[in-house]
Amino acid sequence: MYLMQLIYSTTFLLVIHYCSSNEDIYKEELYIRPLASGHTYFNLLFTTVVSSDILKSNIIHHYHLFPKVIADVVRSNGVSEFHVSLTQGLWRYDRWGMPIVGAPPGAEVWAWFNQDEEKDVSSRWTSFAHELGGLLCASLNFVDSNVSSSSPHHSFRPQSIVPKSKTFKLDNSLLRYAVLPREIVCTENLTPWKKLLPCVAGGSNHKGLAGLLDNAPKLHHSAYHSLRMDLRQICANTECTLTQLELSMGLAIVVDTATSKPNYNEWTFRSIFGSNIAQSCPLSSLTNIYVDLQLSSTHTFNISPEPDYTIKQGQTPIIVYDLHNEKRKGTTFLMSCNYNKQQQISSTDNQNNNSLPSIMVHRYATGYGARDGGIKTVIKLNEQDQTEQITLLYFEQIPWYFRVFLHTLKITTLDDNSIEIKPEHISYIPGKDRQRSYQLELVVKTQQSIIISFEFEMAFLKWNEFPPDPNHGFYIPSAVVSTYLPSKSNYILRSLNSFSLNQSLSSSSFDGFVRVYSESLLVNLPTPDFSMPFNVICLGCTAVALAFGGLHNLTTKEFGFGEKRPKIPFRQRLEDLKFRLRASRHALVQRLFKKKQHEHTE
Amino acid sequence: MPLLSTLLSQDIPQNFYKLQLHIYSGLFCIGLLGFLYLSSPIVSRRTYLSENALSPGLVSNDLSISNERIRQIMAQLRAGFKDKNIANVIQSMLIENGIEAYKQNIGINSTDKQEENIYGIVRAPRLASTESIILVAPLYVRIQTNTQQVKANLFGIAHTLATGFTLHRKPYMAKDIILLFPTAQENGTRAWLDAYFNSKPDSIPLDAHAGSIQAGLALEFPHEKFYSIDLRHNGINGQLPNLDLINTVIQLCDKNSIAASLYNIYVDLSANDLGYDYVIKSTRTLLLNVLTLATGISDGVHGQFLHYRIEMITLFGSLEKHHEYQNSPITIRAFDDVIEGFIRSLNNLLERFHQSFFFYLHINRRNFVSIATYMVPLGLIVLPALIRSLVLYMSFFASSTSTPTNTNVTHGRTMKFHVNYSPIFFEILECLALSYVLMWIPLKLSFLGIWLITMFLSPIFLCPLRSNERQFDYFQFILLLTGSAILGCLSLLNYSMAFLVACFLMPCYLIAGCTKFEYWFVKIICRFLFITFLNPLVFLALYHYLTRLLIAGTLVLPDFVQFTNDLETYFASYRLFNAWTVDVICLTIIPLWLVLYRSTFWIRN
Repeated sequence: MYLMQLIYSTTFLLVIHYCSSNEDIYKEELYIRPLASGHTYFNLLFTTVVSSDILKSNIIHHYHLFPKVIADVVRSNGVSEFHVSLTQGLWRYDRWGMPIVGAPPGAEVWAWFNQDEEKDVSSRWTSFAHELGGLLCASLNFVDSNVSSSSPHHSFRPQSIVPKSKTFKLDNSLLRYAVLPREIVCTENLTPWKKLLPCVAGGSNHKGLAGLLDNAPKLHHSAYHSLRMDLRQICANTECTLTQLELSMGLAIVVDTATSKPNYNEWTFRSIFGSNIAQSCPLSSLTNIYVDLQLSSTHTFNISPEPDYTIKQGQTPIIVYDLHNEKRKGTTFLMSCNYNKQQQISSTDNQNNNSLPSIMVHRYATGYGARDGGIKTVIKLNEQDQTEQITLLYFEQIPWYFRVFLHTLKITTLDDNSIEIKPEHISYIPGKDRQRSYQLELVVKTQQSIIISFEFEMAFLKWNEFPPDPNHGFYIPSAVVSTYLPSKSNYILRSLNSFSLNQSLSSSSFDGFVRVYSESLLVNLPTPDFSMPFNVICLGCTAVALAFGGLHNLTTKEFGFGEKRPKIPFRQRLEDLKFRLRASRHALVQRLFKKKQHEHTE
Repeated sequence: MPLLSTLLSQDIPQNFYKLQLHIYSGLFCIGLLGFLYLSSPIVSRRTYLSENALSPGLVSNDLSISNERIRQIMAQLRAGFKDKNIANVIQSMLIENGIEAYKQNIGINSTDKQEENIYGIVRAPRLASTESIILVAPLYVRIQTNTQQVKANLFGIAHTLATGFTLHRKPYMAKDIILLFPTAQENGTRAWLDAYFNSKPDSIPLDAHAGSIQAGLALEFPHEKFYSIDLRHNGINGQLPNLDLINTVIQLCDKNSIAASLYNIYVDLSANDLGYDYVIKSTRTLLLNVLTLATGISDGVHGQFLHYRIEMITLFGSLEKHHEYQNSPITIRAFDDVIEGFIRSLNNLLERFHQSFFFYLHINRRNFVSIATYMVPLGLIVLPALIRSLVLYMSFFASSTSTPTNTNVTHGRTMKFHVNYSPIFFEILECLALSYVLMWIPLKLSFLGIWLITMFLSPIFLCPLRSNERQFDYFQFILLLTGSAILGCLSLLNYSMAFLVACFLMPCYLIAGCTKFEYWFVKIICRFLFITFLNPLVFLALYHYLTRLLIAGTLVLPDFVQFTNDLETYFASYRLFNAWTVDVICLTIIPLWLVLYRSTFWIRN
């Protein structure tokens, strides 16, 4: 009996042990970079790595650190990997340098789907976007409309790093990409996003770095705010016999930390996040804070507490705090930083040339009026560190109501607009009214900065195709420029191997892959004045009726003058009337009389 | 489709023929008087804010710009103007305060100096730079008394900068603010706008953009102290900014008890009964509105922006005191409240300006007439031309039943005579060609040339029209239709110009029609009238004198030297403004007048 019990309990324990497989890894990181413009860039990164078994549909799962809702959504729609970002504001490349992962203003979603499923990709994409939108409280349900979805050929390759079989051919019909520049991001998106993290308990007593998100005053009082979530497959071991799932969640904010004193910046955890890190998350295997001291050549820094160690990434020193360190156990981690500019740089330039990133994109709408327009995209390369040609992959997705003319596509160098550059490859899918958006992908090899320009014509929308919101124009989503930077830059970028910074900082390999997003544009379509439809309808109908009646009569009928009626004197009319009255009385009498006679005969 | 019904001359009541002249002149006079009647409080409407999102003056003032700060900025600017490196001074001030600033080279001016526009962009934290508001302060502005002279716009630049500095880093800003400092007034502004919208293929692109520009404000303050603000809103070719924008500024000015005038005329609306002063000043404002809009050029840099559908007006710091007991100039605090309130109102705006009115005439700052009302007088003035053409048309046809020998059947109707189109065609072509050639002679000469040639030479050069009476009627009929069609088109594009042209053309038609009478005396009188009172140049001089009278508000003597000077400046500046007034006048109105004038020389066959 006892033996049996012991065996049962042991098996039970074993099962529990198996289910909570210790392969699950959860990492928390906070990357901080003070910027020359007086802002500070905070990037919270949460990476969960789990066994890919949880996506199998025929076994019972135990979700340990992985959010169950995500697994459900991914499994039921046959998604192999996805990316979603919700962003408020615009990342200013020229003033802030490169972000770890870029994002366009508004919402961006893309997903690769598994090939062999019963349902077709489009219906799976629709249901996936709806479910994800519900999960994040974002209006991602608009992505499946024909205005904002496309399947680019080259720009969004799978992020998963699993070995591909030789017969594998990349099929872009399995990819769906959508962007919604109109989406506004706020706390209602942050709360459900936050709840997907393992160390977020009910209530507000979160542990670890997630505790910083409890009631942060500056989270939405920032110049840039971007939520992100990526799911992909990675190799579990070096031979890649086993695959794992990596879920990376990131929150990037850029906060204005300048003070009223000129050239003096100051911030603490409490001023930015409203709280300090009270406890570390026991589930995390890594809790690190990095401070990128890129500005240390021109600014003097005063950071407390002392860092645990310092690493060097190229030229830039990065100080690291390890919160799992023994000496920090049980203590509250608080951090403060102030820095000021050492010497007055008396240049009239806006940016210090050395700090400019290797690639920048600036895009603007040209033309005015309600019929024709155009788009110009300036891709600026930092010529100082440009020694060899680099290959740029330019992607543009434009809603169908901006009818793009491909023959107007022109690529010239920035300095001299007479030198035209021929693109290596053009992939263009023309849009169809109300069915498909325009999609343009270009591969350009260049050493100099270039301008890509093309023109479009604006379509007349039907009155019920205008969005119900106040109409201030229609958005054209950001252009995406993807490239591999040839030389190692000063910026910490996300490496393709890992979303976790710890891994990309320690590994020596530098792939230099960047995806740069341009501004989204707001263009006015020809719009009827909706504020007075009633007046317009009334006036229009009246005018048409009046004009039509008159014109119709004039053109179809022949007018003639009728004979004049002879004038009848008043006395004569009176006589007539008398006569008529008498006649009618006579008739009445006769009828009554007849009736009576009839009765008598009966 | 041809008309099926035959309209015959005997269908017109005989009484009408007798009273024809009375009816035409009566309608014309009623139209003129009706226009003046627009200024009465019965016809005009009170202004209101149609766009609820604007709600001006409701935000609590948040910007505090100290007098010391303004003085400090002004001192820096003054030094910059003295050393002639104002562009660098402004740019470095912007960059010091964390605002991105750029320069735009617009070429070399007459004195071989590089001209540069400076602009800065205050980035809004809440938006991805898709929309923006613009504040413009030209480096130099024309002064009030003499429009030839320019003065540094110290006050305007200082306040634009100070507003930019304080609004930078404000969390509630949802639209970028562009601070633009154009160098050569309209010229610089135009170069900047062309580059921003890339509307000219050869323009060099700007370094930075801030999305679609919604609306803005231009500040022109030649004097450091001012007693009232003059609102200038005339755009190019009769364009006007949205009435809501002007009302916002007026509301804010009233709230801060700053006297806001239109065309330097301030109507005191506080009095209980509207007296003589109100009527005179309102009529003056109305007439000045029409007279200045008719020129097609704007009275500030905002006109260039209206061309690109950016709603904008200019605030001009005027030295005139309008309140009776006002002794001290307007405080910086009050002025900054207006600017801040304006920007905050625009910041709240969810849509482009589309409500309220785009076609209006101001009576005073709180009353206006909308297009529905002011079109009526113009219609009355043009109506005689239409009636007369109908009468002429009806007289061409004979009833189909009677078949005289000399008839001509067209489209099933019987015309009383045979029309020979070639002399009519040549007559019109000659006049068109003449005006077209004259337009390409340097502009200043053209008017003088037209005057001389038409008066003395054209009857000698070109053979006069020879026709019979019917043919002459037909010719008149074509001219009447052309004239009313031109006026109809013009009235929709530039009402004020159409109104003035109608006032000029209608008497011309009347006189030209009178030459049908075969008395040598009548013909001589008609020609004399055409040379004197109905001469375009004389009309222009009268127009100029009337405008001067209205601006001055008192009796002034005509000044021929000033007239020629103003005409010269107008022609010099008009190309710069992108206006089409002179082209339209030279290619449609002058030929029409020429044809009418030449028709007084017609000879009966």
